[in-house]
Amino acid sequence: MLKIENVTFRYEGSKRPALSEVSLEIDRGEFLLIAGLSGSGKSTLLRLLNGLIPHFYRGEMKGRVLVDGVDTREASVAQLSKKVGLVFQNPDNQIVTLRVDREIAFGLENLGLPREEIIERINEVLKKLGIEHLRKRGTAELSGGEKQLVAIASVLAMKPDVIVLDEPTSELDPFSSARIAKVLGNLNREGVTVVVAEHRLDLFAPKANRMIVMSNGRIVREGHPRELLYRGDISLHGVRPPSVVKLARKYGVVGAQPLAVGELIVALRRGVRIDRS
Amino acid sequence: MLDPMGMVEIFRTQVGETPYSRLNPSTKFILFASFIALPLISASLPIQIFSLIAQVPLIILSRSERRVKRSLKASLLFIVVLVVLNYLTTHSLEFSLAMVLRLVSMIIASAIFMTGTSPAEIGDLLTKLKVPLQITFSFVIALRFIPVLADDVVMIITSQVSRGYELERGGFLEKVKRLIPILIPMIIIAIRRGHQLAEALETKAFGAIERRSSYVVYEYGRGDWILLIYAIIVITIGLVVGTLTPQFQLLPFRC
Repeated sequence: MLKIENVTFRYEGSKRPALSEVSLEIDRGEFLLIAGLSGSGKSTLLRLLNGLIPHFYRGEMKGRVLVDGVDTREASVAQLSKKVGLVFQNPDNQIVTLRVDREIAFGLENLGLPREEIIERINEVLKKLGIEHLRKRGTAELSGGEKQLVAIASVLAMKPDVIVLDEPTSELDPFSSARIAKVLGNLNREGVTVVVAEHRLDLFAPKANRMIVMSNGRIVREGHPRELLYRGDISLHGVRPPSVVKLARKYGVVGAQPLAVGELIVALRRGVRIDRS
Repeated sequence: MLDPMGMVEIFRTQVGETPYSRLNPSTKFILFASFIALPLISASLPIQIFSLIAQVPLIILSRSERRVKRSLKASLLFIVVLVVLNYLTTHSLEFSLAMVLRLVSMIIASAIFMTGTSPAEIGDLLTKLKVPLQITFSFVIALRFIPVLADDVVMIITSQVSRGYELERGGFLEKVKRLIPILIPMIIIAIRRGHQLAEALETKAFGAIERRSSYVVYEYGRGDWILLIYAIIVITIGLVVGTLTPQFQLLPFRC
């Protein structure tokens, strides 16, 4: 589906490359979580996926990126937007219209879709994200979490095969962050491929089925989140395992490798039962 | 102290639901243009009085009495200066009065239009008038970012002030100079936001094809037709009244 082949990228005016010899393949239906410190190359990697690099950002690029077999250098960002949708960190900077339904319609109007289809897609996506009540609201009056949901909805309405999110919860409160994580989990279950760069591993690791850790522009670890987070050496790269992992270690239930609080409780109960018998 | 949040109020996107606000934006614009043109047909007093009276139904339909009152109050000084100057130059009380009423009825027409039309509708109207997308879109984006940038200004001011920066000190020039530490971060933040916005627009295929489709469609209802006919009648009466009663020339100066 998405294929990054040995890509090195250096932004214009910077001495060090932001990405060095990165190769990655993302399959249909995956939920990929990208972890790593700020400046480790996460955002650069995401910008490769929808062609913002090399079309929007100037710099020196080696290697190639294939989206559905098409080299991103040979397609425009607009063409790629039908395949890969990108949601940014700050919802305020990506909302361009004054009303929620018009915001969702914006990308579809740019694609030149007929009005009936636009209406249909707006209804569909509002329902999917559970924000039908926001339809006619002014975008300036929304809370941060609602704005981010609208931003996701507007990208999702373009029906991309992959939805890519760059730290979608960094500007949000814990409650809204959890909601975003839940929404993404649901979307993935419905078949949408999700790629998220995030610091909130506690929320996203339980939903993901694959995780990579980035450091200094390279992918340094790759595997299932359970496997990576319980291995213990990822903190070398500045990634801290969620508290659940620490608790599980403390209570000796590492065998089940719980990532969510619910899983930890189940594992603990089982552990207790085993102790009694 | 600056009041950036005050500006936001002017650009509120939610327009109250009134019979006028539900009209097709084109109708509202045609009514607005008609009532700007009507007092200009002639300088005679009857036509000015007529254009005031003819706007009363619109004031009622748009429930804009308060805004009209506020606008008139705000331009009171201007109106007084206008009366005095006109009287001094023409020595005709009737002419001065006509000029004032002409101004007042234009102010009323603008007030009605501004209360009953949302910025988004103005954007759509510009598109309909074949203004290039780049311009109409810049207009909508500017409105969209006013509250965001207003928040930024408040944040910058509070953080500078809490570090002991005194904004209001010294004379006028000193005060202007003191705005620099507010303006520079403001400009940098705005440029950053602009950059991210451009990325988001790229991602949403902005400018991908020549003719975008349009989600919002405005229909012409019965109210629209009634008011369009009303505008035609008003303008016709204006033309008749304007040509039949030339009480004085447009600029009755004596050489």
